[in-house]
Amino acid sequence: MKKVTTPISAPKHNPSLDKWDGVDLFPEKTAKAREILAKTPWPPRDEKSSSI
Amino acid sequence: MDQPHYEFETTVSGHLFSFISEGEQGSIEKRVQFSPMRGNVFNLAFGDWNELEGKIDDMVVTNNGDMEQVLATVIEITRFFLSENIKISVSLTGSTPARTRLYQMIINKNLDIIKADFDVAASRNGHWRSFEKNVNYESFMVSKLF
Repeated sequence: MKKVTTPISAPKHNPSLDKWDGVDLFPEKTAKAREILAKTPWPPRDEKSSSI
Repeated sequence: MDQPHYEFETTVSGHLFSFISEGEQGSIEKRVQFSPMRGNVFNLAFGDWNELEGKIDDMVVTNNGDMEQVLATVIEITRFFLSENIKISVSLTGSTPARTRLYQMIINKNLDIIKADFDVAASRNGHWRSFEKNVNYESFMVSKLF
């Protein structure tokens, strides 16, 4: 079956957002993600060899 | 995506995005941030922008009546981010079990569209597997197909 994809929209640059670049705006979620990735590293040890 | 989405803006780095939800409660700024984790993984955080506290809030219930369009915008932003960073994988974890289930429902609903562009994996009991419908997961990982 032929794969059909739609064009990807490109955003405009908003200079007023730049002051937040590199600032973690959701530290609780970032911490939770680090915790999960520490417990379940990516890529899996058997990298893409089996079910992924 | 067939679903219309909002226009969105970004920063120089292309790691932070902003768009305006227009609905019953007025104009509400939403932000999407991709934060670097270990290796080639970035974590996606998304929610209402709280200018006073300088943080994203995903616990607020906006009820702006445009959830489909908001979610379509987040998916479109993720498509853009992964197209610009082809070796990156994006992890997605709800801040609560309810949020994780919501993300799972979104992926379920849009799985055919998402799979046209992305490889979707999910973790459960400490293992990553290909995403399957009707299985409860703890976290999700989206990568661009080559």
